Amino acid sequence: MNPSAWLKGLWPAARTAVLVLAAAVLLALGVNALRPDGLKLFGSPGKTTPKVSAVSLDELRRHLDLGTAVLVDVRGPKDYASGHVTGALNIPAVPRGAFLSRVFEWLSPDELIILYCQSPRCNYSRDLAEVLLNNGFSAERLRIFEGGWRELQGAPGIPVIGEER
Amino acid sequence: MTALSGRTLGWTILGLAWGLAAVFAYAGGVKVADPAAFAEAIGNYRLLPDVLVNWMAVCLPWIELSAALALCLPAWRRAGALLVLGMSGVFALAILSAWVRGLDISCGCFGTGSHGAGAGALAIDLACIAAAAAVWRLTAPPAEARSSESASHPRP
Repeated sequence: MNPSAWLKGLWPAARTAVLVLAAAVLLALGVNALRPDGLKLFGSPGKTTPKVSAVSLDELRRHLDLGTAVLVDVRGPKDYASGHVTGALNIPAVPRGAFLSRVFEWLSPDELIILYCQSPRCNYSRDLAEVLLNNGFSAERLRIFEGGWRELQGAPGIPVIGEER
Repeated sequence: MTALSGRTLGWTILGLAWGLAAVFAYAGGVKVADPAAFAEAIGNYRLLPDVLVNWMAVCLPWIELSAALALCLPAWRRAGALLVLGMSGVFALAILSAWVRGLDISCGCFGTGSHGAGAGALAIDLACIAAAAAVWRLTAPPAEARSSESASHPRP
């Protein structure tokens, strides 16, 4: 095996590869910024906003059984339509203006609100909890279920449906 | 390389490049469809700091799709092969590391429901590396541009 034969033409190919890579990264960041279930790229994923507590699966189940909380699914309508917790309201995180107007239309600061997103790595619940805090909702009446839909689907005692309400 | 006639060589390159492109287009597509799931799969490897997990989950699928596209275009084929070699090399090391550490995790190679990060995933990765290396070697460098062109565009 002749090593120089393998290295022939490496430089132009590497240059093109770097260009393709850069274009792919730019495209990825653009799409991520536009899509409703885009991932948060700055900040510390996996940590709850200090002011808003997380709720465990058991607590969530108890609230659902007793009807003592409003569950809000902040994913996009497509994800919601493909499956969600029975009774959960769909208030998509994006666009933010529509989110807020629907929040004020459907929710009251007096009720306990539990937000869930797609998975523990989705930060919308956390972000939106902060938005709600800045819009008259109190931390005492807000909770986040960090496991998101990924942990809710198939969890025992959590009723789910696959059709949009 | 001289053992293959120009036409056979051309078809061999096309078959390898398009096969690899199909694998990477599929892998990238399913990850683009569910970035949160892919972020989880990356996080499970416990190799990257938290701040980089989401970046990787966002960018890598699009790099896979771009590599697939590059493999389909004769002028960019070698660049596509290089990208596949780089990615598959990193994937193989990650899978090997998870395997050695005894992590019982999904490899995340093809979205949710992928097989575990073990021998099967490693075998697929090594096959991709071999195919990309073959595309790289069989595609003639600029000094042999004339034969490369005829090899990359075989007549049916």
